[in-house]
Amino acid sequence: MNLIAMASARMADFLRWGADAQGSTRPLGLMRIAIATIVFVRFANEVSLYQGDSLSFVLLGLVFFGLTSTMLVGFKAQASCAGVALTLMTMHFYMGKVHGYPGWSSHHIYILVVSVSLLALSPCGRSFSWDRYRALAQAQDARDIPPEHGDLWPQRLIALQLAALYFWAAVDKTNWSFLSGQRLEEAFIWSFTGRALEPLISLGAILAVLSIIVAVVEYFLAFAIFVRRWQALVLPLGLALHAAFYVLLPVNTYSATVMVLYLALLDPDAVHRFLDRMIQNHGQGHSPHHL
Amino acid sequence: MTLTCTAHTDAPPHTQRSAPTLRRAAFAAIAAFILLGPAPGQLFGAHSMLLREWVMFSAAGIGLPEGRFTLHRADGVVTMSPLEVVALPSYLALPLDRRIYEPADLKAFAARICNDARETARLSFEGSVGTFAGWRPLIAHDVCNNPAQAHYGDALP
Repeated sequence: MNLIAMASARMADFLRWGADAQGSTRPLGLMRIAIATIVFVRFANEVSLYQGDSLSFVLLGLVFFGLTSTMLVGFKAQASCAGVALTLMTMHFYMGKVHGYPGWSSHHIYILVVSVSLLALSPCGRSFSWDRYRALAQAQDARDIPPEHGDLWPQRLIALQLAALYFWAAVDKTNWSFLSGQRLEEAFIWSFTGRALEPLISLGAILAVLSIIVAVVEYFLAFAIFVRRWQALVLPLGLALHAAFYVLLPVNTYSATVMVLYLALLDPDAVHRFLDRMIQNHGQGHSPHHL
Repeated sequence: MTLTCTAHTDAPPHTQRSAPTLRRAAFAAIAAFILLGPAPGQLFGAHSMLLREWVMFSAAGIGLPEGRFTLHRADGVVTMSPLEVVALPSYLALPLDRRIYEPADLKAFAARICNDARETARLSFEGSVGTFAGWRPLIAHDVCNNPAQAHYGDALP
């Protein structure tokens, strides 16, 4: 088999894995709820109506609160996600990058923009949503009940986004200034000078070891997150890395967002069955009055 | 008690799907954007607002000094840490425009002392400053009155 034939076979495999993916929509429903909550927490204070110094800013606040609320409860879920995505793009690119609104051009906002945009392309309203609740209430028989099943190519793109994030973050760290521990020391000086944990700055060679570990783990995660049989080891490793970032550096909502996006890496049907089991155990074993 | 679990996913035969060719084309295009978008900026320095680079915290400590400021008063010298000079509890509160991107920026960093008309003593600095390439030694003989002579310790003044 020549090189072109091999490449086209790999491409076909890739498209089958990504573009043709189908399965349970429950992970998407959970991601929609969690990401809407994170967006709300990140911006609610900054775009609240009392912060408005112009009519357009007040309007932005009204649109923001309306759309994030409908995204959260899953009312017209895909349209709501599309609205939130457009709102976040305006805030990130126009207000953050063009007009320099402090903090709004940051990478933790961009990952929210990507997440919500991809959720808007997915059937994220088929599970855990007001849309589903209404459809169930209006169903005449079982055939009218909408399936918790659909195209998962946007979920695969979220997984690819995680891999790209790890790979390019590791590329950025593959240089002497990072691997020698100097850039980590600079970041720690920024975070810890004048604080109780200031001694962390003076770890010397340990900072170099930590830097090398972070870069190696990020390269590893970029590929290993896709290997299902490794996930029992790889996903806790990734979660631990983000937990460490969360408590050591002012990463804002970045770690929480990435942790939620790990749902895109799990087998969606396994998540579905797990939730079924949880609900059934509850229903068979206990009365809610006894809890 | 036997626990049974219904392992179905409500998968119906009639699930609506978008046209395969269009879906595959959209998937491939977005995947290429996600996977290769950072390459021009991170590999070739061709930065664009629309192509996000994943360089988190690479600039976190850039422009922050480590070392000692010294006030040379007639009745003796007074040494101060950089945080004492800016009078902030933490570098997290320091605005970006007060950071030291060039040696002469030391004056903006020490503006609280340099702009104080009652303080006439010479202020010097000896230490290092964070750069993208790591730490660089930085020396300034007279931060407030002659900022132009401030220089990196590994370069000629």
